[in-house]
Amino acid sequence: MKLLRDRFPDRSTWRLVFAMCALPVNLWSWVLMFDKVPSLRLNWSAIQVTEILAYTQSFALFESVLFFCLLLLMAFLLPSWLLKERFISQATLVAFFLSIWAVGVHLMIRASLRGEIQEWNGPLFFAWCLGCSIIFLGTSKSIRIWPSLEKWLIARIDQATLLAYLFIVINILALIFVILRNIYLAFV
Amino acid sequence: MRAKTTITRRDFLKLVGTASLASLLSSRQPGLQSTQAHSHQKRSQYNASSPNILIVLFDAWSASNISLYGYQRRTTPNLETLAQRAVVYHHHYAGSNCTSSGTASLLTGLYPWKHRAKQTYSQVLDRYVKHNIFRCLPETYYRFAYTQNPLCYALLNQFQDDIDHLLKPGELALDHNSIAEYISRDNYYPISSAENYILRSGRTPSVSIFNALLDHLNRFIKNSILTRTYQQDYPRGLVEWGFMKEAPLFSFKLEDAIDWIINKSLSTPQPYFGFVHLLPPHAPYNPRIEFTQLFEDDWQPAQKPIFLKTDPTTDLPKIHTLRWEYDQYIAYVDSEFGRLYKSLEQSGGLDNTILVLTSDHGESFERNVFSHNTPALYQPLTRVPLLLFLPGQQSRVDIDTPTSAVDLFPGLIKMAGGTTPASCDGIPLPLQQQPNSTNRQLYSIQINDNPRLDPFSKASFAMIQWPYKLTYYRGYEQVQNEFELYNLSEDSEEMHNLFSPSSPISQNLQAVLQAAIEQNEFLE
Repeated sequence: MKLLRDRFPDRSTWRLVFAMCALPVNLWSWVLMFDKVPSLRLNWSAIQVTEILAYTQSFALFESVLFFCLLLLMAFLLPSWLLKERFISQATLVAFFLSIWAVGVHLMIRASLRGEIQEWNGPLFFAWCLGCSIIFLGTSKSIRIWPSLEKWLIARIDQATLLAYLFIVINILALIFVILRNIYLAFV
Repeated sequence: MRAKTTITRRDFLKLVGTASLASLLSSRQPGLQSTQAHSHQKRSQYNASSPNILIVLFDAWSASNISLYGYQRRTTPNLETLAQRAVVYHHHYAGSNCTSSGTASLLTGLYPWKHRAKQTYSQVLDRYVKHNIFRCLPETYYRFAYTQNPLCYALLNQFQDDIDHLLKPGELALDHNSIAEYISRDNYYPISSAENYILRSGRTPSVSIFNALLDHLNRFIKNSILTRTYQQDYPRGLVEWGFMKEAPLFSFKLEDAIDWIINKSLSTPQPYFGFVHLLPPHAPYNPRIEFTQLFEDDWQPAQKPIFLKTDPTTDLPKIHTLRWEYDQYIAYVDSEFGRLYKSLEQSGGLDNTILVLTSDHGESFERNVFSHNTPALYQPLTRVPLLLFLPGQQSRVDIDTPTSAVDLFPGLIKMAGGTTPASCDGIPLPLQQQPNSTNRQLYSIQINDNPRLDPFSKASFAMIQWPYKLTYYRGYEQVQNEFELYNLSEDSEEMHNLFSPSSPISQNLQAVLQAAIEQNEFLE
């Protein structure tokens, strides 16, 4: 059991990494919901819009947790020097580049639905994957070579955690709203 | 050992998990089973002399593409034969040109400016939830409903307290990827809308950054497997519903739904009222293989004036191909309906059953207007089939009197011996040919771009006062305030716009339409 536990990164790093997982998930969620809310208000009442927002924010919490668990699993499975030893900086880089990659794929799907590109553009998709991978690997290697770069990154992470914690609090409040609303509907 | 006086983080998490599980498993949320709201206990014995009523509605089926109604291609040979023992309505109009509004008009007997169900909010106003056809039937009727269209399911979910057996769309699907209808019986619509925003990419990306992509990949893989499995019989794909062609939310076989209707109507308590809403011939147009070679001709319909001064350039070959595929799909639907009819007839299922065949709206392949989510309200979009097969009927009756989807409600309730609310917009369907009334107005209304509860700043209205059809487009970018007037008895293809502000007919009809809009645009 101790052997298994030693494979995981130090628990003191989990808080920061979870915050860095929640940040892109919530930023994306809020940007998209701000885009949708004005049209929602044309047809839904305020309480209904709040309810929909609460479901999306609750799901953002769920997605952040899943994302974090994925990074933990990667740290467990991969060689220590790859991820576990510099968990905060390396995991943040993974989170950052994976999010950028995902945003790119979303935009490709949107472009194909709007007819701006053909429905499945394999070369574009693979080029995007390759580009993201190369930049990620380069950045990851740089972190290992230059400790000052890692220090700079960790300082930025510290600064960003305030926003991430705010998002997490909103997610938790949204989840409480969802639970209470469903209990209310079940018994009223 | 110290007694526990404080709640630890672990205890709190257990409490939250238990509370949410309890709310999901509470008695008001039956979970995975079909919604069977009422038992038979509250009903007295069934009255066998009341006719069964079975409405079979095919989505997006335009009367303009039906050979029974004079279409060039022979798309409905079965209907032409079956119509010899039916009441055939030649000028039947949907309440709107989209599913939510059109189906709501049929189920409530109200025009869209009253019920306000629309494509981006697919439920009627709370005040009209009890104004549905299921509720107004006599108590002795057993009511069941099924739809393959999630937009229609949102409506039926509203009326579920008045439906004995409401089947979920996924229960007859080969593959379904929606969970909202299994999570909550009473809070379905906000949950399903949230599910769509979170997981389904449309013209704007989904709200979830990663899980939406995983969901998309999952649906893509499942669809690829299904497509390969059924490729021989369905080379273009199955009956599908979703935001993206290669990753649909639901996949069906029409045959499965038809088989279910046959079994259900033969095994269900009588008298029954059944409402079944099937997706074909809604896009994508994927018929069974033997229908994919039909209509390989050079026929092209006459060119018509472009709608609302839109861009005149259009991909004509693509539109012709889509029309061709649509016609093939209709032939497939016709064949399956024929099979349904024959099965029911042979097993005695039609002996005491009124079978209704209709659609919620049409489909367009002309005037630069493709499909049906459009402000346009031309005949292909609003004129839909309506056939009534009455018990024991042996000869054909043709009805030329214009009728509306809102007339089905009072018509069927009257046949069942129920009571129609006074606020119903429709009148009972005529069962015999009558002289055309030039005083009655029928409406088809499109309010998808208008805020739901607001007066109409952006909407389309079509009024038919036989033989004239006046259409009014209000508030769109290309046209702020435009009217079109056609004489349908002389110009059924709507080629010559007769509207002129100075002509007495135009002025008269315009005044009638404006008055009707003013009467209905402000909610009390």
